[in-house]
Amino acid sequence: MDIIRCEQLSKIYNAGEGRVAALDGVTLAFEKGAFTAITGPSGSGKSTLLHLLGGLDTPTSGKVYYQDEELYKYRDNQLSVLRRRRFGFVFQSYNLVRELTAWENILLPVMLDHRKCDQSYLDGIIEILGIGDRLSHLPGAMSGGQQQRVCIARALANKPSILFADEPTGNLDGKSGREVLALLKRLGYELGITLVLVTHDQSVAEQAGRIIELRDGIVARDSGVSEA
Amino acid sequence: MKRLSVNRIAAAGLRADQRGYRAMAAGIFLSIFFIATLCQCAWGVYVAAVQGVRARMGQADAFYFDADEYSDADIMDEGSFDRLGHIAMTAQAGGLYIGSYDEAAASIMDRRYASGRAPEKAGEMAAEKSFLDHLSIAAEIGESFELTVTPIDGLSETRTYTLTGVLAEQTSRFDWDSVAYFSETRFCTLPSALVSQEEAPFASGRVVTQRVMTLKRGVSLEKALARNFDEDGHLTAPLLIGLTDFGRLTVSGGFFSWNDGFSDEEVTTLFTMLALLGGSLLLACCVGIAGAMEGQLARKTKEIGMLRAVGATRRQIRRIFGREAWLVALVMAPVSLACACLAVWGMSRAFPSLIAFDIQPVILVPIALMSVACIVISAFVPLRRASRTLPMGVLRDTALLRRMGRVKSRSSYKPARLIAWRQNRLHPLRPLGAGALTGLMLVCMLSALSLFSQMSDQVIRSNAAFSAYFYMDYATTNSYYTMLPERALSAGDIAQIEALPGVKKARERSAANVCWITDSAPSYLTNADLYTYSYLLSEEELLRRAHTQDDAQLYDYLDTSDEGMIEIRREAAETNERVRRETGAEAGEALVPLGLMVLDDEALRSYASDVAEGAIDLDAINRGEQVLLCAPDRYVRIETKNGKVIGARMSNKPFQGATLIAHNDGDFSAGETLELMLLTGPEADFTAQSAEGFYAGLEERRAAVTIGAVLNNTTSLYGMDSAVTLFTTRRGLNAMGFSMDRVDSLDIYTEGAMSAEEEQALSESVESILRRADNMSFYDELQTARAARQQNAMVMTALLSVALLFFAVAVSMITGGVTRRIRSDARMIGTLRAVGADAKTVAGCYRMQILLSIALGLLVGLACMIALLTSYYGRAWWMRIAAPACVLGFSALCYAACMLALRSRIRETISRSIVENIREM
Repeated sequence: MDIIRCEQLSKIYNAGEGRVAALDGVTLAFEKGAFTAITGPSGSGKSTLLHLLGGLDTPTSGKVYYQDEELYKYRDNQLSVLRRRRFGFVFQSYNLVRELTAWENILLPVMLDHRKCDQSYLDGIIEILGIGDRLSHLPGAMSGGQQQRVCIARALANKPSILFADEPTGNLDGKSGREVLALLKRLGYELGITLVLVTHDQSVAEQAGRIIELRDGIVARDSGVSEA
Repeated sequence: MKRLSVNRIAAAGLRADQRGYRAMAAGIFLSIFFIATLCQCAWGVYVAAVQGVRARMGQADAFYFDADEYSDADIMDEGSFDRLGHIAMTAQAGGLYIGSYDEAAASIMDRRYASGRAPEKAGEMAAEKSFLDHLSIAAEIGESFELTVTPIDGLSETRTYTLTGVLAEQTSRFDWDSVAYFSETRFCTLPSALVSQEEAPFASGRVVTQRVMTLKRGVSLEKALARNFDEDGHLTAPLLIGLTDFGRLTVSGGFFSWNDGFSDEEVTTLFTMLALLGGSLLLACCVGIAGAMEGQLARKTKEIGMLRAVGATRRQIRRIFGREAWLVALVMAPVSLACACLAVWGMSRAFPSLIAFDIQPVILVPIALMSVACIVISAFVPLRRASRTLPMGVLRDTALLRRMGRVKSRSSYKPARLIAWRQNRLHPLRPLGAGALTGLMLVCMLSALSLFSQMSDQVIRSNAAFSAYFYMDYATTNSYYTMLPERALSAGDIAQIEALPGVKKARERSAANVCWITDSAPSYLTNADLYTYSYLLSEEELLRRAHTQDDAQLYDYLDTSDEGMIEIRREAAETNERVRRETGAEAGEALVPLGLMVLDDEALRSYASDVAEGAIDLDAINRGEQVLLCAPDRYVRIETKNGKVIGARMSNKPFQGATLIAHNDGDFSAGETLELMLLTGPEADFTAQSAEGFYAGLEERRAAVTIGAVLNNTTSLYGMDSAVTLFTTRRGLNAMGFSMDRVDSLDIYTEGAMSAEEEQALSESVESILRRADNMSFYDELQTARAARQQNAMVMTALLSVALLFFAVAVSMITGGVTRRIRSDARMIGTLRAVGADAKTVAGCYRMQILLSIALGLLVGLACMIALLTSYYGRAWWMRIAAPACVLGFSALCYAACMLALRSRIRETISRSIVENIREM
């Protein structure tokens, strides 16, 4: 069953001398609980696709459906609620709120939703991520890897249906990258989360159940679709 | 290839981010505008003040009045003056003087003509309107009239003059009393009417020469005045009377105001107000520039870090980004200067007597210097901070951590509130500038409210039962006798005033001293007024009472030592004995001076509530059979500080801390008969009082009256010195045989609100009637109230404008600050939205900054409000509603305006995609 899909999704930027199609009529569907990697060279539209799927940007044309509901028909507030309850984001540059400690950053989606946190669930995630001793630190006092882990914990805090991760290992050294990836896979599997991951690292992509390769804004290859 | 200079880098920075520099440009524009306006206003006020004086007194700087012992050569050799003119004073008519100018004096005094021309030949006269009115000369220009004039120290003559012109008022505006007081017996006057120098001399009398001088360039009036005194401060020359820049008279260090126009206090107040306003606006601008600069530099921290990484020194960083500010200033300076000139021009058109539009290059120098100082000071702190940016990366989070210390994590929190709280902890001074401005806005609003309260107070006063005019006959009296002037205001005059349009009624108030002939003076008298009646006590009793009664300090003008009191008693007893002897009082009779007040029926009727015993029978009073006697309870409190007596307060009503010193315990009772004696005579002569037989020479009238009612109220202090006051009416006085054709004062009540023209016409009519009496002094309270109202209205308008300006600047500062933060927080906003925050939550992060700024201002406003409510003008009932409403209302308005602006900024930010926000960094 598809949890999220897009139809003829395009994003055109009018930059300088001409228009640039970051994404050009992409149609894709993502199965619930699957781990999908989106790959491609720089500028192929990987991140744009991820942002459009996650409701972080507006498409020039085309539609995105989350559980058969059209995403971009939602009002801004409804979209906000959807993001904090159903989606989780892991950014390449972590994007932690610098005024909040690691623990407070993790709790952010829960607090925004005016709910109480599930302490045992979060403790579990924190344990898996190995950041228990860093919870009272502000982001500025943590390493890149630690920040990335906090970012992942934040993305998972609300038990999302889909986790969008944009180059989650891009800023990490090989060992940390592998650890984070293993974590994502493990958590995705354990919690039944659909994982959509953008990477230009082939070794990372190969760990996914499905690899979608983008080139110049169009799907060049999709391992989830039969070559026929 | 073009050489890369600091200017080029700065210009490129400006071009790349024009929008970002708008706030800084606005701050710089406003600061230069305020500095320029302030300086030009101050200069304009000075010029207007000087022009005002010159318009009234020509170029005159100083005068020697009637100083024949001093020759022209003496004056000029002394070295202070460069021009000298002569004014010949020949005669007076009705107390106003006639004279002529020589050519130099005419040029210095610069007498202007409202109409007509100067007298050119014998028999011609030009006069001020007040001169013509005073002497009831109805002649038009070109017409002849007869005038009886008295040459100085000579005999009256009647001459025929032809009126050639009406002079603009000048002499009538001079404060003669002050000058006369200092110059003793000299004729220190200037002419109100001018005749030609060819006018035939009078048969008798003398010509008094007044000399008028202008100061040499570079010589100050103080120096010129100082030269007339020796080291010990003794006058070595005839008294020199000087005119200060703002038109005050100065006589050996003493200052006297003009009768109208500016005084030094007013000019100083104006300058202080300008300085305060300009200073606070300037401060706001400096904070604005600093804030804008900081915001701008905060956004460029990466760029600064990069520059530092490639080897730019701190000084170079300061130069590059400081130069940006200078380039903005260079563009804004001419614009703001032009706007300032326009504003001052507008003000000078609106208030021509207050501010002159006079652009001088010399004024531009301080403007330029102050502008430079303002920009340098404002830009210094942000530039210094920016130049300390670490070369590699912008470790703001680290800095944050370092400054905040270890932060305790919370398991439950409201994201907007926590983020705002942490940001405010990081930048605690952020709300300060805008908060101060909000406070200033509220202070201005409350000041305007206080002025409004004053104005409404004056409106009520002038429209209701308060004297619009006050007439005072300076008939001289002591405690025992009452003098009468030759020409007094008659009942017909009063009736004529009452018939004038706009007059509701004219109420007279007169006082006389009468002697009560009695066998035994009651102790109430000495209890209530120990000193006036000291002769009624023995020396021992006086000293004992003075010590126990503790009211020795009440009369601080008296010597209240034991010796002093004995002396007071001796003098009082001597005078009493002399009056008794000369009036032939019988032995054993005490002669007690009492005050007798003459009021109208209505006033007496109003005392009904104060009756302690008996009843007010107006018919009996008007028949001269009864009087009212007021013998109030008297209270005193000695004011002490650290055990030292610093004064005393006396009242007829009990007040906190006061002790009762006099109580009418049957000393006076209704039905008691008083035998009264009135000693009266023609116009007073001070020197005659000491002559033997003076009292015997006075007309003596006697009457026996009954006390109709005894009053216990505050009225006995109403213009009377004695403790016991008798009251009657004019008819009662006449019926008693004390007929006294004299009115001390006249309160004229108006019908209600009148236009300025109607008031002016009424003032003139009343004054012309009052002039019929001798020694009359006319105090136009209505006009004073009107002038005060006009001045208050002007100040109130200015304060309201400033409050509105502050409001606009405060709102723009708060929203500007928040906007800058929103822009620099784009990434955080994007993150918050990505994890599901709605617009309300995002706005919440910035609401606290707005709230803090306004709360700070509100605190200032509330403090000011409490001060206002506890002051006199805060006592009006409506002020208790209006002042809090004003403070809270304006704060709420400010908050609402800021929240509206915040909402629009947030909407603008979230209209961009989240990705755009995140990527911006």
